[in-house]
Amino acid sequence: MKNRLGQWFEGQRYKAVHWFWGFVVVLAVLLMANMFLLPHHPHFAAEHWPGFWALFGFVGAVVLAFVLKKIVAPMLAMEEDCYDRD
Amino acid sequence: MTATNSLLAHPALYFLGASLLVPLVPTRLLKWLLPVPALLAIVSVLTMDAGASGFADYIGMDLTFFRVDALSTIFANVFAVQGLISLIFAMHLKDKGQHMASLAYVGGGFGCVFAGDYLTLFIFWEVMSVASTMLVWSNRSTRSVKAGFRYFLFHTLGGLFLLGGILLRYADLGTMSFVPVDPSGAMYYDWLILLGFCVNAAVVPLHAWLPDAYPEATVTGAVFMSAYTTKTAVYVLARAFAGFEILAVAGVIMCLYGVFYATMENNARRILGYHIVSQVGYMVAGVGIGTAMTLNGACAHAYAHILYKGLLFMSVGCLLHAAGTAKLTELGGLVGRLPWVFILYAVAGVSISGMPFFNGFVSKTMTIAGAAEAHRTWLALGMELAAVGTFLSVGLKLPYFAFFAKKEDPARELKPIPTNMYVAMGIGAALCLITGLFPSLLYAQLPFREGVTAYSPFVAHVAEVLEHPYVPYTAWHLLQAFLILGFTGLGFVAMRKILVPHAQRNVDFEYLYILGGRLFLALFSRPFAAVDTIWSGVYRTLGLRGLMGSAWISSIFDRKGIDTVVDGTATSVRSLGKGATIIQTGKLQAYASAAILAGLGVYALVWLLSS
Repeated sequence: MKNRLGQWFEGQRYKAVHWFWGFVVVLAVLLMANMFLLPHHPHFAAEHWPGFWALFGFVGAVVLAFVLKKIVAPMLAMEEDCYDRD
Repeated sequence: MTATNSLLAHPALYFLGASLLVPLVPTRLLKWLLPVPALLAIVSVLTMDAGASGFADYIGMDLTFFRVDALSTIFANVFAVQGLISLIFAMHLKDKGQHMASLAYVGGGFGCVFAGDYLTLFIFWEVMSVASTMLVWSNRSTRSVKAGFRYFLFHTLGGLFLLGGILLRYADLGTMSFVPVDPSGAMYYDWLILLGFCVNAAVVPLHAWLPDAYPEATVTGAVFMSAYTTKTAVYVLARAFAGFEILAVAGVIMCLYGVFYATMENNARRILGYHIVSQVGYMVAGVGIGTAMTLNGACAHAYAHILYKGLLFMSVGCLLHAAGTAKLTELGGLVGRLPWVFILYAVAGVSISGMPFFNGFVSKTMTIAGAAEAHRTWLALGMELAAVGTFLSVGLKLPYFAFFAKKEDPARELKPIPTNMYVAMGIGAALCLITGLFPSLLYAQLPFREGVTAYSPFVAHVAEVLEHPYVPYTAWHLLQAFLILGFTGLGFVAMRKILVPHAQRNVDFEYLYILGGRLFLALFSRPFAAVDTIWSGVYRTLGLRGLMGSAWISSIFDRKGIDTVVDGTATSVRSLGKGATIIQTGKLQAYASAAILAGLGVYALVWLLSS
């Protein structure tokens, strides 16, 4: 009885590949839907291209992660306890 | 409009009164009595009617303690609900000082929200500032003492901007009334007041106090602080400064800036702190764009944000409470051992990210759609990019690296999490889901709706909002949200090796505050010390000799004349000195609370004498 939920979560670690491909299928379905379903009143032209928001999300996440972790973070790095010393 | 609300229905009264009563209540009972002020506040907020009451005349100024309208009610409503959740979360604590501070802090928030004039607002504003500093100091570590000092100094600075603006405005207009400002006719004092508000709203670059101090507050203190300071500031900005273009731009900058730092940060509570900056950015932008739709969006987002941000701080607080650290580099695979904390965190994480069926979706999309409909396409796109970054850092990075990334070390000792903490998180999660599934519950409280007079004449497109209210659940909105979030998720999977957190602190504007402080100190320690040295020399050679001479004369006079007359004086002076040393503890927290109490005392005395 004890912590069956925790064990279930732990078990999912070994099924990460299944989860990933399931996720990809969901994304493909969403993209397909975007072919037919578009906004009635687009706020700007690009919103009318199928897949625009998918591209926005993916490119946004990749660029944010790369620029911030690889370029900006090394420039701003200080020791974690820098304000705790006298 | 005068209402029938008695001052006894004022929620600030319950919380401030409870704060004063805490020392008198036995610890065993305190636990169960703690949620009472919040329950009373919820009843009061649900039953109060619109209009102003609680008037007073204070040395010629008209004060209004209790102004109730649609704008103040929506904030008071969520303040009361979150007050209940946070108090339940803190029930297990035995530290009475901390309970006093958090109750006074919430009371201050209610006082600000219902204040109809600037003087009342300022007093409660400062109560909040002092009480929240106590919540940082209550952590009782060198680290929190230092962060608390920086926090307190910066809020004092913001409070002085506000006070300066209020007094200059009074000198010019002869009124203290707290009413909307015409964006095209703002005077210098309005800008000073705006600056004071912006400090508390954590507008970049005045924001660094927030991610600096919040991670150092106590586990429960941070839950309180996440709700009230910044959202009170959003309320006062919405009240007075709707339609100020500078806020529209500053808000979007906040959205992005907070997300940028959160993506790099390692400390989970600091990530959440940067996300307060980011989420409050949506509200500030909504206020700045200044249409009825964006203001409704800002208020709805404040409501949703308080609920999910409280839940985020509660669940990360559980990690800190159990594992003793909130640094992602030191956490790793906790999902197996704390599965419920993970689930509750995930509810808050998808809420803040604007996942459909959770409350962030019904409020964030309203603000963004409002910006787009006001033809502010670039601002709307900036907010969408911030939404991508939010899901990336709070929705995915934080839980992945805290719960899943590594194998958990089974030898790690976890402190048990008290039941009341789980109960509070459960209520928070339920409310995130309920307001997301039934947005009409939230929309029925918005400040611009059918049957409510607009509180400000400077808000545009009120009629349009009444005619075409925003509908969140359309097929396109759902698809758009899932596309953005889904492909952000794909981006995370691709970049998860790069996103691995590093044990580092990223320098932010707090470094400038510290540099400023050092400069100030140097200015005083070098030139002033030099002057002081010279002066001491002059005093030693001239003053001391003169003093000795006069002392010799007066001692003769004293022995021959006075001693025989008043014998008891010396004793009483000595005991007075002893009393003074007891009061002078050298503890800043004692001085700060004493100053507030003395201030309130003087204020009450003047009022009594003048009426």
